[in-house]
Amino acid sequence: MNIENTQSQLKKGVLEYCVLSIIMKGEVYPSEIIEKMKLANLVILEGTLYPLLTRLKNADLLSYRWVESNSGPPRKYFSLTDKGKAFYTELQNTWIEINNAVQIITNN
Amino acid sequence: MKKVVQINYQNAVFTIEEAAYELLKKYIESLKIYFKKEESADEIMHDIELRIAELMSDAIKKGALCITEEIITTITSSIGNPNDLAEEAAASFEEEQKTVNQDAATEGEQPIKNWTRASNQSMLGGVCAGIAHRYQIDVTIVRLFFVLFLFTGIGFLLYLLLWIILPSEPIPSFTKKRLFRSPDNKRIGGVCAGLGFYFNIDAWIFRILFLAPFIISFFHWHSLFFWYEGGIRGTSVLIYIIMLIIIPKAKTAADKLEMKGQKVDLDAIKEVVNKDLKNLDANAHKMSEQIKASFKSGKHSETINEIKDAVNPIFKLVKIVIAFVVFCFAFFFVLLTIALITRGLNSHSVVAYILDFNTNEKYLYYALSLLLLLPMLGVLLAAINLMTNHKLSLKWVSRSFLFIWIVALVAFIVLGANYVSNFEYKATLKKDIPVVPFKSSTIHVFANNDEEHSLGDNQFQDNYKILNLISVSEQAQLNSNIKIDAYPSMDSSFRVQLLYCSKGASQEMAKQYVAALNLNVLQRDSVLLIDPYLTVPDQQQFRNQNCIVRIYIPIGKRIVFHENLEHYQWYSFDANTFNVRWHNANNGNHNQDLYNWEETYQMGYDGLELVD
Repeated sequence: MNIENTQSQLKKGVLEYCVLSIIMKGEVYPSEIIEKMKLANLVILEGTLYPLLTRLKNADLLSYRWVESNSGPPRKYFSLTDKGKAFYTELQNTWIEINNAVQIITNN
Repeated sequence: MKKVVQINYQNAVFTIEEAAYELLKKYIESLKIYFKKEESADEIMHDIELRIAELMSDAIKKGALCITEEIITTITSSIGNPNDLAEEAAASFEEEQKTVNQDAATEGEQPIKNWTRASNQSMLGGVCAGIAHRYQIDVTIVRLFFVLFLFTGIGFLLYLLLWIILPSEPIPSFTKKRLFRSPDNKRIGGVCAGLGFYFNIDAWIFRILFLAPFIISFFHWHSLFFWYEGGIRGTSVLIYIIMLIIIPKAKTAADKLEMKGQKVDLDAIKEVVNKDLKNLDANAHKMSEQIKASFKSGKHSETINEIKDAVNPIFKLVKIVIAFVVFCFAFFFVLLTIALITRGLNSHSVVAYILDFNTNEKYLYYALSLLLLLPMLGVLLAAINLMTNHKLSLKWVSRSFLFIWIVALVAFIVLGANYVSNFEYKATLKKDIPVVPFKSSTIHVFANNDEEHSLGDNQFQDNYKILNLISVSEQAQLNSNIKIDAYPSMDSSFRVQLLYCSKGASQEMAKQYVAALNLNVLQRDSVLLIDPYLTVPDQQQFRNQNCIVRIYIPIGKRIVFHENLEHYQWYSFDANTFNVRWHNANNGNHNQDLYNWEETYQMGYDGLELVD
């Protein structure tokens, strides 16, 4: 049993939830997401984020628009679709349930 | 001191250290391979490349003079190397592997998939790629099969039909062992090397198979030039060329792994990339040019691209067909020229009559040969390039061709000018032919075609002729540069005079040449028999030797030119008429007119007149 493997599995489980919740708070572009996660001490590689965003977008949970940037190439700004919002609410409920359960189990 | 290059990356221009550029290129390639299995790999790569461009412009804004290796390293560690990404995604990767396996299983349960055309992997219409996907085989094999066996009339129609009927859909790429041309251990185009990898045998076996027909023909070397008559040799070349066109070159590390049938994973790619890296320095410049070119083409608007997508296959097809036709012609002419050049070297050839191979005139011949041959070889190579669509590196070949061609041109001009001086002086020699008086008032002029003098097709079939003007036999050159002039005679008898002419480098030479000429003219009663050829001694070269036969006809007497005189090519323009010069008794001018064979003409004060 590999500790790193378990850790990354744990991380991956919450990653989608975290990304969705950051986008829920307003339109963002990928490196902003990275920054916000970094502030919360959750460090991920950009190379992991892009495929994730694309997958979520392909599942119609996210939509994006191009915004010109004055510091280089245009950026994709992501926002949640209605489907994405519903998906997020469900994830949120699940997370609260799991969180509660884990707290109860680990505290006792 | 570090070399920097300029690149246009994601529509922004960056100054980048060459080493950093290589690093970046390698990195992007490794990411491409890593994301290959993702559903929207192109989109992900596009996002990431935009991000890289953004990070690079940030670095420049912060004051970097150019993009250095350190900057690239920072960028790659922020985005993540394939290894790191794989680690982070380790858990999910396992899951995906499972789903992939499941997909494979379900595919196995449904063996009949839909017939489609591949919209994403097409060379022409995607028909072959569609079939390949349907039966899970390498598309190159299908293409080869189509071209080699089906691209006859029916196969062509079948292809067009499938093109029209089948729906177009994107298909996943084929990941098993594939047939590629190998650029690493190639001899010509890497076809045999690629076949070697595909069938897991030594490439030399294929090389020998392709060469075998030619090796055999070396034992009959003279037939080498006419190989196109020999079926297997032509087929061997044709098959090779088709394979050169159809089989793709293994360009990327992943291609090379697929070619060798190895699994495309990270470690394997790393190994191949490292191996390639050793050759990179040499190719770096070329690659940056290629990248520039690809970015330039990327700037076209979408509509133009759509139109291009629709028209491209037709253009490609037309281009290949034209190139093939050009290739065939060029090939034929190259062989023909080589054959003619070799034949010309024969000491009894017409060339040996025109040029003296004992002097430096032989170099004139070599120069002329090169002048003709090189452009045709150039066209041949250009046609091959156009057909195969991948640039054989011909830079040095074409440069040396051009150089040799210019040298040959200069030599040709200098030696040609020297040769022309052979014709500077002119000498003439008159010779009277005695004519025994005869009763008839009409003289009949024939070419002497009896067996002894016949120099027709039978006797000279093994010798060489130029438009029937010059023939060469082992004893003498024969020149049919003979003209007939009709003159009014000042007295009452027919007379015949020969006027021999020759050019020479000096007056003495010209005289020497003219003295050696001979044309036999026989008189039998009222019949005049003229040999169809003027003989020139074998040792003498062409100096525009010619002979004018002057026939003096008394006023009121008649002459008939018979049809077999048409051997005198310079006078007969078609079968029914011929051209005779006659001398006008009134003003002494030469006139020239068309006359009919077998008609009777009477000499008058105004020249020859047709007798009804």
